Amino acid sequence: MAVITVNHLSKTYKTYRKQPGFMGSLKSLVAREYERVHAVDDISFQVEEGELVGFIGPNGAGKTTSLKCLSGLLYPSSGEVKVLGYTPFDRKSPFLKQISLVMGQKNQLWWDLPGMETLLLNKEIYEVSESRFKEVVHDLSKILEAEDFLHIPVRKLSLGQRMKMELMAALIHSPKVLFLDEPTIGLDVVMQKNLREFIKEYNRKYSATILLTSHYMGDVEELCKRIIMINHGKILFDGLLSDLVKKHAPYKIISVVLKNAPNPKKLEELGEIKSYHYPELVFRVQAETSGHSAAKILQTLEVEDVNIEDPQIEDIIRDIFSTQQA
Amino acid sequence: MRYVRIFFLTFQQVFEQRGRSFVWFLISLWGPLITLLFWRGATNGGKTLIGGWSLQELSSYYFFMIIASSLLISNIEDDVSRFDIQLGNLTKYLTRPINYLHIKFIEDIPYRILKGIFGVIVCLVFFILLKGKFFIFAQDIATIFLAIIICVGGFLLSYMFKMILGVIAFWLIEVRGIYEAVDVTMFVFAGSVMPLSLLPHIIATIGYVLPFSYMIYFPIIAVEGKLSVMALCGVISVQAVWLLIFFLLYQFLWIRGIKKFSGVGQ
Repeated sequence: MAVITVNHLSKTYKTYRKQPGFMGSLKSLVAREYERVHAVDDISFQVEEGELVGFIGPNGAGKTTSLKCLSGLLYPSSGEVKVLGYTPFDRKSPFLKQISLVMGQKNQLWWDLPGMETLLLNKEIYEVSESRFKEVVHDLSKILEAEDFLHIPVRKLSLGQRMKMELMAALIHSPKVLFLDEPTIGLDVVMQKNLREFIKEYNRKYSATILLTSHYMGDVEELCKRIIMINHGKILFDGLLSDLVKKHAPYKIISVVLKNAPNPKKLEELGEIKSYHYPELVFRVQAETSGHSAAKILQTLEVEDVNIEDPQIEDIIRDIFSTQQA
Repeated sequence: MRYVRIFFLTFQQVFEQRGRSFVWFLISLWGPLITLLFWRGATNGGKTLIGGWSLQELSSYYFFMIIASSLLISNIEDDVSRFDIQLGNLTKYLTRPINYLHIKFIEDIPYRILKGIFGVIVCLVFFILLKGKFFIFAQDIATIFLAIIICVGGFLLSYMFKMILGVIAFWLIEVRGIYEAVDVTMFVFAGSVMPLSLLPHIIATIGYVLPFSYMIYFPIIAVEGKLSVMALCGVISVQAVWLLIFFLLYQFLWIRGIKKFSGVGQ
């Protein structure tokens, strides 16, 4: 059953351009040039219950705007959005009690007070029973290793600790749908890994539907089977991550470490050279014939080491976005 | 229960910021105290009546002004426009099952109480120093009861008015100019410069029609016992009408403005 249904959603902002300098200001004062920016442009998709979907795209692609429309923050310019059967912008109480939006750059915590105070406040707001509250706080603080700083004022916490408290505050009512906008932004690699583990665990334990945006491909690769790629407000790809590789990167990468410098003419016959900094040489070859290509390379060149691998997801996505921009 | 917790949480936050609140209070204290010195000179040390007001009555008016302006006048507009709308803090209210108008109201009360306490302490000091002779209070129970209702009405009016000013930021980026113009208008028509009855007739009449006098001027003269029970009931009625107008206007602006919210900064 689809928990999230988006049909032809568009969100347009009105903005204006101003030439630099004083004259630009004067011109803007007299005749301001307005323009419409299509932050989200006619997108449609569905998300099933319990799915963990990655929303990826460069800055300004429309990821956060989409998430804001889904959580009821923004009023869509056109199209229809349904989450758990509700129209998000109506912000009905039963809807808000079943969702949560976590934004990595900002928080709902009370700055001067310990994080526990915000948890207690959310307990009242979401009408969580005392026993359920204790259970959830116990579970979450254990998974997030947050027991030691529940009672320390938020302003005294590190960024990672604050993010953990933020997640706890957002999950105290065990939401069925979770929108995570750049949850690992600014965190070190250890914390990023811990948070990913936590998100995975939350999705598994509560069968929660999770939509996640991130700049870190590590987040998406580790967490999401399905991804939605978006750029300039339009969906470029919606499907399994493995299908993305098959569709957009039907090639493999063969990296070799050479014993001796070969004749450059020979190299060109072996396949597309991705990079060459002697003694390291990297080829890009067709996935179907990669075995044959590898054998040919080994026969032709004096090789110390060889490695055949799938292309990096990050590279594939960068290629897709740069092709689109070109 | 949730509002009680929000109230106490805000109180804890306010206590964390008590130093800043006290500095702001001190700034607001200077106006009435300097005006009081001016009136002392104008009444020739209390020997002359001005427009029927003695120095004792004027002093009492300005002492109560210190309490009224800190206890009854909300400053929520800056919080709503700058932090919530322009910097995007509104997000945390909109994604939770809470009413924004109600929660901001609850969040504002601790600030009013703290500032009001500062005002009461200052007035108590003057009361003791001046042996109470420059303070005039209502005497009978009915007047005191109605005066308390008028004070509450004054605060509600000021809160709703400031919320309206705050949500203007959905449409305008630069709202400070508007706020300053409103501050000046309020300064004159709320009775902060002088009691409205001392202003030229036409200005005073405008002042009685506008809502600002029902936020400060009438609450003060009600507490002083300068109004009959009939007049007090009249003030409450006008406050109720303005409150209804403000509430409807706020709802009108909120429903339209929220569609323009972009959540920038979040």
